[in-house]
Amino acid sequence: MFEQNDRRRTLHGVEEGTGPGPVLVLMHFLGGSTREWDEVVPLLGHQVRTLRLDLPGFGDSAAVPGYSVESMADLVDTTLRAADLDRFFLVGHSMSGKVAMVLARRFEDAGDSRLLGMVLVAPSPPSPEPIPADKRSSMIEALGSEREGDWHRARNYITKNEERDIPSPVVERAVSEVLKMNRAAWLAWLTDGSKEDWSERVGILRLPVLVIAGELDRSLGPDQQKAVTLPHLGNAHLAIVAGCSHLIPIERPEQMAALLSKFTQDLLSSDRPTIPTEYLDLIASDRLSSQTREVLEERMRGPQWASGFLTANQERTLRAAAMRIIPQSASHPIDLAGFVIATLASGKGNGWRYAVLPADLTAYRQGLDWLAAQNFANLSPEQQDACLRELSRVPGSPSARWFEELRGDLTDAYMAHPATLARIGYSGIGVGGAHTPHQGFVLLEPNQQEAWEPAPHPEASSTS
Amino acid sequence: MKTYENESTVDVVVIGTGAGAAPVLAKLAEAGLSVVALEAGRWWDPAKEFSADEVAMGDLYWLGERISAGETPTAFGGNNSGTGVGGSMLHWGAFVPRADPRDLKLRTDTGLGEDFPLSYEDLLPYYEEVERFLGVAGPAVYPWDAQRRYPLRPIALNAPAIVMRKGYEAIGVRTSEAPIAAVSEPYTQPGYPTRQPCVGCGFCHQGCVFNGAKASMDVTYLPRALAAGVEIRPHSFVHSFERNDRGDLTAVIYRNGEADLRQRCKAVFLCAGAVETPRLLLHAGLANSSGQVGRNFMAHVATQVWGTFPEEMRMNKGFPASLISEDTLRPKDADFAAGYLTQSLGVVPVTFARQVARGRGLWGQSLVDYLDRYNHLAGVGANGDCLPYPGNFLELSDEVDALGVPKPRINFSYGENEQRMSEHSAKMMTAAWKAAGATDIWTFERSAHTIGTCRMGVRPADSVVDPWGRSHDLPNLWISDNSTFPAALAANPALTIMALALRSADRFLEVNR
Repeated sequence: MFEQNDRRRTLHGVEEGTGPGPVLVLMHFLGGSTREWDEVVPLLGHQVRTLRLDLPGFGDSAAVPGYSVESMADLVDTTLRAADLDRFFLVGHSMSGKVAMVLARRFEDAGDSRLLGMVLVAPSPPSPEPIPADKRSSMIEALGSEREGDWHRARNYITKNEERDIPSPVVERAVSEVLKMNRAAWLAWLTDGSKEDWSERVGILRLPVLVIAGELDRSLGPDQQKAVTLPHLGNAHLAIVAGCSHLIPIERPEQMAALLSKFTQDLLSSDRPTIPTEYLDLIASDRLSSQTREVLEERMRGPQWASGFLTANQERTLRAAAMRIIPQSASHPIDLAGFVIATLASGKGNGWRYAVLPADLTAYRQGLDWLAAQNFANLSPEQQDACLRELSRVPGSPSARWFEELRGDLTDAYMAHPATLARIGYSGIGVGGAHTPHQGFVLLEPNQQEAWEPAPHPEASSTS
Repeated sequence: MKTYENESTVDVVVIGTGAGAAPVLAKLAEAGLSVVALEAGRWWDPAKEFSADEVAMGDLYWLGERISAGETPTAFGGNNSGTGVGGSMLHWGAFVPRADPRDLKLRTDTGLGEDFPLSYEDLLPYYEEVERFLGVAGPAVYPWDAQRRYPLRPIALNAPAIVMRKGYEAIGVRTSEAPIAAVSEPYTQPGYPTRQPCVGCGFCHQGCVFNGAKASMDVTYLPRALAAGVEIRPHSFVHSFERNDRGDLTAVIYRNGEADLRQRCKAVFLCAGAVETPRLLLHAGLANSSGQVGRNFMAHVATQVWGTFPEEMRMNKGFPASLISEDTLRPKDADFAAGYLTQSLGVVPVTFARQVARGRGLWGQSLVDYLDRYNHLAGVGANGDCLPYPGNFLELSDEVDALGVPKPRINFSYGENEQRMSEHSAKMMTAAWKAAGATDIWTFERSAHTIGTCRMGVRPADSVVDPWGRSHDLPNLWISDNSTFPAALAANPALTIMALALRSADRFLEVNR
């Protein structure tokens, strides 16, 4: 959870996940809150960073005013700036889908590339939402003001719009979230926000979007999305969730999480460290043994590990230290910290350790805790370097030995990555194997280069 | 492969399949004995399983944790251990100088260190036998031993070797193509299809995939042993022994998967290396009436000098160490006893980068910038004698591994002799690198190889085994590996381990006739 500097100008948010990737900004439906995503977030895996927001009038932002679409967009914008996110996806559901599209228009106009894409879950369209007049008035009547029988009416709102298959504890929670809202926000959306016409202003968005619609959703289902939302999206796909109605994240959390993961990962596959085409061609060629090629391709997919080895703070500190020890100015750096954590998590050491250090994982935890106690991740680069120098002030001391381990482990991860091998123009991957047509090297003298040997590509993983 | 029942009593169980074990296996089986080899690691298929990737090939190392203590703690893992059928010879550098005769009698000559209880003449026939059988490639005339002849012509020099020759010529130090246990032409030996010539891939330390080019045990002594009826059992970690009333060993107990198995036997050859051999003996409380098990741990002075050359070196190409100089085995201006040899160095990038980050202490942009010059770097390194000291020893720590066997803790500190030798070698190699045209020259202080811990000697009171490797305490226990060396010698150890192994096997056959 991050700091709310000004309770009236930023929204309540919940941050989770520790990975290096972009953040999924998750927003809720009318009457919902951050808790709408309770089932989905754990399914994404702890490496996926998420930031859930309570929109004004809802959840823990119940006291925050500003219910017009414009005000909501402003508050989300301010909140995202305060959170200092480098790159993120907007995920809007129903009401917040409209807010997301309005915000996306601002980012596109400003040429702000921090927003990578959007996932719109049964979004309310930029144009006035086609809510039948009787339904609108019955909703205003049901929960427009606090009175006896609210609980039943809120429960009805969650469960009875269409047939919905939601586990009862989730229903209970969703109902209590509905009852937490500021009724003024409910009224404002039904009487004004949903009727605001942003269609001209939003126009046609260029960024990649996944629209998700529930097959049984009678108001904002697949047909309505095709008719009123997709025309605003120049680069969108529609995914239909079978047997599901409007509250997809709580009705079908597994499918919701899978769709989110696939969409973001497909977009991010181009987000891996860049390897020059010539080097990729070498990797694909018959100069490599199939075993070597498999190892390199696996490494290019990035590190994978289970959770629980480092705390979020330790991991953040490790990532910050990695940036200082092996600076990478590439737009898609190698996830060095991730590779180091994956190695630690594997439990497979390198066969020895210094007697002054405890077991590898313990040493890492202690070292990172010390750096974290210096507030390492938030220091200036110069201060961070001073902190790292302090570690090695006494040669042979535990901290100096751990810093040596840290340097060595990060350097292993850096040097072993095909992006670095390409950068230095390394030819050793191409020596072949027992069954390849070419084997080893013939020209061994200084300045002798075989025709197939790669030249260095200093720009491959860094621009420095 | 021939197999034996656990309950049948085999003539010999050999623990390990590396340089100390494989020649013993071949010799004993060929003499008609029933022999089972127990190997802690797996049985690799190099052609299918080895890759040209340093990280992936890390599984060739012994990854059971070793705790390194002392003023100059030595690194284990990568350079100093091995696992798998063939032992650390799967990833050895195949650099095979013989021991210098003077190194075997250092105590007699200088009053320091310890003599081997045998002479160069005792070793010579075994050196020649090993070199012939492995197909060692070397120069027509070896500058430091006019009598010596190598069976195969030398392996091609790579770029680091060529600049080393240039630099050494300039400072007046002799060099020669190195004796290398990789074949420079098709080579046929008993038990293995024709070995194909080395292709110069440069990945010797990650395991040779090229049809037996490098003389690892899995393409030399082990096929011969298998042909003679040895059974090799991988995934078999020996952790204890059984003995009879007279105290003789009667069986070894080993872990295979989830089970403890027992192999009955009449004799045991313990060939697990200078760390695992004393660890097992200390754990079992055996063969230590002298109190010398674990004592006298030594590691070679393996200082390296690195530099940046204007030419492209691409030091990953060709045989990693293909040039040698033995001119400094007894330097005239030395302020230390004994001496060192030097060799050219090409190191593959991850291993190299790690030693830059750890050993040169670079980090930040300067590290990234330096690694960008990989294709222009080359090194030269020493391999120097190390004296035994009372403070350098292996002991059992109070931490245990997954099987409950205590992890070994190794205390190692350079003495003044090693420090001076390291400085002498750094000075000479730096001068050579300057003369060869290198810039940004730096010295990387390191030690390498594990030696000592079960020293051989004539007197049971101060040695663990006799001059042939037989335990003074337990007549049917023999040790064959680098643990028995009473002195480190300047030469890289593998050739001498194999020669001593053949000598032990001959002696075993003689006393058990």
